[in-house]
Amino acid sequence: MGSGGLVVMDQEDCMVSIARYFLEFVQHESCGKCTFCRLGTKHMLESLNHITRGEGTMEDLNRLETLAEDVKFGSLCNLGRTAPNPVLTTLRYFRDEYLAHIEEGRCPAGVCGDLIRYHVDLKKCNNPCIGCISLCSIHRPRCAFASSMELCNACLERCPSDAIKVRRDGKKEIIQEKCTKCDECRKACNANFGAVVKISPPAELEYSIKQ
Amino acid sequence: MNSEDKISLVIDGIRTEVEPGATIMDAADQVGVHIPRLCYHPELSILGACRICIVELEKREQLVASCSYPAEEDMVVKTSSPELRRHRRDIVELILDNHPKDCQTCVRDGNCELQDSAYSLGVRERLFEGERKQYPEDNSSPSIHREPDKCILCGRCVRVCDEVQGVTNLWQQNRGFESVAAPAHNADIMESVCIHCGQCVNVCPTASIVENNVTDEVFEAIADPDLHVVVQTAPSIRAALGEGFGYDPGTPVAGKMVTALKMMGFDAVFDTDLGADLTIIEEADEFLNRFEAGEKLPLITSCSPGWVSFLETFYPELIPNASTCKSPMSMLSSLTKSYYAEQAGIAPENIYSVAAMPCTAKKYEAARPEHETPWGAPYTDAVLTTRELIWMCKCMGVDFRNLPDSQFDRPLGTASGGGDIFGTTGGVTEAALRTAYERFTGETLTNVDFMEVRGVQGLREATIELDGHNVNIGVANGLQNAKELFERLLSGEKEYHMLEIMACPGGCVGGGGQPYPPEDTFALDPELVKKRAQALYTIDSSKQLRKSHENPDIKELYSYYLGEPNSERAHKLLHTSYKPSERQGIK
Ligand code: SF4
Ligand code: SF4
Ligand code: SF4
Ligand code: FES
Repeated sequence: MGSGGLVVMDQEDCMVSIARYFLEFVQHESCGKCTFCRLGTKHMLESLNHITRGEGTMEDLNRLETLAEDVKFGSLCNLGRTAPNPVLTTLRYFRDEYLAHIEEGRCPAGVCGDLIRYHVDLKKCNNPCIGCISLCSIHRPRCAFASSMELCNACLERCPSDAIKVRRDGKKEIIQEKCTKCDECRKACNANFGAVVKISPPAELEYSIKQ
Repeated sequence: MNSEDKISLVIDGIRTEVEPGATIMDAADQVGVHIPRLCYHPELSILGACRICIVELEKREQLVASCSYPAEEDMVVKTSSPELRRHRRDIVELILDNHPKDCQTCVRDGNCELQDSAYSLGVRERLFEGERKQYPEDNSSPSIHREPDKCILCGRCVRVCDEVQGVTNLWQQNRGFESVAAPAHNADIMESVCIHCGQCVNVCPTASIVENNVTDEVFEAIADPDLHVVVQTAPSIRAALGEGFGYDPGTPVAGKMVTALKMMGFDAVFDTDLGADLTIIEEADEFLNRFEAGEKLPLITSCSPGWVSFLETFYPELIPNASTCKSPMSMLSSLTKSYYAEQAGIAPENIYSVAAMPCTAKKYEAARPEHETPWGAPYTDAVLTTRELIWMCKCMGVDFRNLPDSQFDRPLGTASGGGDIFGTTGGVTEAALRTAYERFTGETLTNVDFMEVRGVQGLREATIELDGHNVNIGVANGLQNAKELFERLLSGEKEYHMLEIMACPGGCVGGGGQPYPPEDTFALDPELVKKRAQALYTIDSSKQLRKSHENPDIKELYSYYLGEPNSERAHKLLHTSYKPSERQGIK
């Protein structure tokens, strides 16, 4: 990854995000002396920001490739010369991931926050139907059925932003406006039921990528 | 050196030989290939920052910066290819995209190296627009105006301030994208140790550092019917002003300049050269007094305001040695608002005095409290650089090349050749010697050319015999050279009687307010400076009147107004004082 270090990754890592991460690092490291490293890497980072935010276009991809070459061959020192490597390598081996971000608004690894949506799969949410309980206003305190119920609130308890509500039927639902995509609910549910899923692109339910 | 020691290499298919140590760029220049460049400056150290000068080497994937890469035996260099052109274009565009889109309203529009590069390297569309750096402008100094947003980090100002001026005020501040060239801790110019010499202005390829422009104030004063607007022009302006109108460097244009100024509406045009003559007389007198008494030697000249600031900031221990004479500009301004006002019957408060100078530090000098009139206004109300004057002429539609010649106005318009050569390094010394010789020996000096003190080298020494006494003279231009002179002096290595210091390389002809150089030359170019200096020597040698003390206007001035050199009135109007700066610099 430029520095000669080795980083092991799996399918859960988004290659575009990784490239972005390395270029952000370069922003702190660049001394600012030579034009390519000072300004070229900054623009590369901006393009990667566009792509990971789902605002990327093919132009971003082109300028990323152009600048990567400029910076690699023209920089003064090895920091600049190696800075574009993460971009060049990921573009070579994972170009489809870049294209998925740009053309479909989809992050295949489900990492880029702007390109995913958290969703509770109602079929898997472990809560039984409690429609009767929520409707019955008379007997609730003494209802044997209700007091024997064990409701699962794992996701709701873990959510730091109060983004999970209980539906009438007892199942959970994510309020998209409040969700910060911290992944806590998914982690909480995954161990037992795997009902919380990430969907990318956010608009379409069919593209459920990972449980 | 014989050809065996030379390095032979191939540039774009042309084999050529260069001396060891030469760079690829040197070799390319030699075969007529002009590799584009931005941060490179022939008189400064190599930085290799902009990367515009990259070239391809055979058998090497990495591109190299030709300005810094040494030529090697049998190297095969390609200076142009579609890839190289694209890389270069991209560099300029990266810089442009981090730069205000200001060209049409920028003082350097039409005279900007970044614009030129963008044009010649073919930036025709913007591909990389994004965030731009944003820094506040620095208006703190009366001389220097900084717009860091226009800085392209070429580092030329940093290098000139350090290597040529020995001030080391500017440096790259911050890192990465935030980088900017500025005084330490991003201080304002006035909080820094800047001496206002303007050499950074001269070398800056963009409008990031320029002079503090006062043309609006001058236009307003000219238009004000209540003001009597007087202008004076420095010696070295007449040797450089023409460059702004397509004349070759070193073309003297004094006559046209006076006509132009009168057309522009100035009520009187005076000659700073007369102020220079006056400075010589006062300074020669001061020198002879000190020489006879053997005290406060060496006498150090004080006509260069950049140098005076340097003295106060870096060498306060030498303040007693500095001549107390005001600079020619300030002398002439004092006389304009006293002697001239009296003669012409104009209330001095109604006189607006403008000085056209080759210098940015003069703006600072004019604003110093010592140069204030008793009624609170400055003696010099506005200082224009040569550049500003060129622009004003153009703005007012003056067809400079087709103007007839005119004479300066009296009573402050006659100058001797001694006053004319004030504008070049060595000139002050030579003029002073012409006068001091006659004063000291009582004899007439027949050969007035003191070739020993002429030249444009940064540091020169000469010993002149005055009636059996040896006078050791040191001449320095560019403050790094002055520093060396002071080291020799302060360490006791050398004894001097007189030191002439000019802040700018070459003296005023290379001043920080002189025109941006025409094509084929560059700021700090010794050849350019030499040509301008030659113009002054030509003016001098074409005159009958060569010695300052023979100037009839000055004789009149002393007999009707000032009395003797160093008289009480002369002291009040023509002398000044210095004090250590609050911001002491590290030598
Ligand atoms: S400095 Fe040059 S490129 Fe920048 S705005 Fe001014 S003219 Fe344009
Ligand atoms: S004006 Fe002179 S001293 Fe001041 S920053 Fe520029 S080069 Fe340095
Ligand atoms: S201010 Fe001008 S000379 Fe200094 S680094 Fe910036 S562009 Fe170069
Ligand atoms: S001119 Fe060679 S790197 Fe700037």
